[in-house]
Amino acid sequence: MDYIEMIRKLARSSYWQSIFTASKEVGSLRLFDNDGNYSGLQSTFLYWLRVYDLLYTELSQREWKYLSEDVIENDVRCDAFLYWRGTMREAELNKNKQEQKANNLKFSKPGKISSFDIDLGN
Amino acid sequence: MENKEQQLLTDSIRDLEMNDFSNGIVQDNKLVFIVADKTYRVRMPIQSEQALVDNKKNITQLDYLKQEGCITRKQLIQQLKNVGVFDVDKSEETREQLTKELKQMWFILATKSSDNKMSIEDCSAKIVKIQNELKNIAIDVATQLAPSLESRLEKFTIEYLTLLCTDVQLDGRWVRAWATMEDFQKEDSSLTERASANVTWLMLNKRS
Repeated sequence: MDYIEMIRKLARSSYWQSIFTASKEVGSLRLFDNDGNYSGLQSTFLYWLRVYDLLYTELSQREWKYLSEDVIENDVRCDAFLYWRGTMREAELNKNKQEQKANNLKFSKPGKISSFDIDLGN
Repeated sequence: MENKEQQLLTDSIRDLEMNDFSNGIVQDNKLVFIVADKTYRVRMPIQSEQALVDNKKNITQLDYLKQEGCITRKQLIQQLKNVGVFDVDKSEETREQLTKELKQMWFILATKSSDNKMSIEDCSAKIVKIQNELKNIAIDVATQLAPSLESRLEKFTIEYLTLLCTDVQLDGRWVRAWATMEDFQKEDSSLTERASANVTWLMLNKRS
């Protein structure tokens, strides 16, 4: 098992997830023995703590059809899900942008009064 | 029932032991390891050590530049291509193609239901295969470019950090494993390589 595999296993463990949740509520709770000069492994661990925290939250809210505990516990499936979720979010963002653009165009059509047509005298 | 409880207890102890062991890799900014019955640790450099490493790196760069045959990464890539030994651009193209395939497989795997075990295993195996191919490309490129100025400096930096940040446990106290670079270079390579590898892990994503 390499270090990244170990780090991900630790980060999704109920022990560390509980500590992470508690540390968000109790600011003085320390995760590590050292206060600063975090190692790359520790920074990576913090990243995965946040990712799994988010995934468990989304799982409890049933936000995604394809997210399950099995997926979270399997690194390959989890990577695949994170990629898929990223593309879904990106597509949604693009759709919203397009809609916003279309709305802006509608507003600026002549003959229709909108806030864009008001001369504020600047 | 009794057997089941015993199994649960055994599993819990095993999990606990496993966790205790792995917690060590993140509980502080150090990594402990054992070589030939001796306990060593590598730690993160403090600011003054990092400054010393940067300074040594600059001096070494000037030294390397004066050496005959010193070649930059860019020049080496071109030379390897010209003599037909290795084409880095082609490797980059293969890497891009494999990355595309990896993303496609991720997309397929992500939308599989957990009940579809065969299909999940099949997709996972393909993903692991692609990832291994990507790893091999990275190793090939790194091996071919090892003589370049940039790679040599990177190696020097890691070795110097290893020299400064490796301690050995003697009578319950941590003391520096090597006093000088000469001592480090005289050391058995199985120890120095292990220590350097751990320093690389410790510094993961910390260096540009």
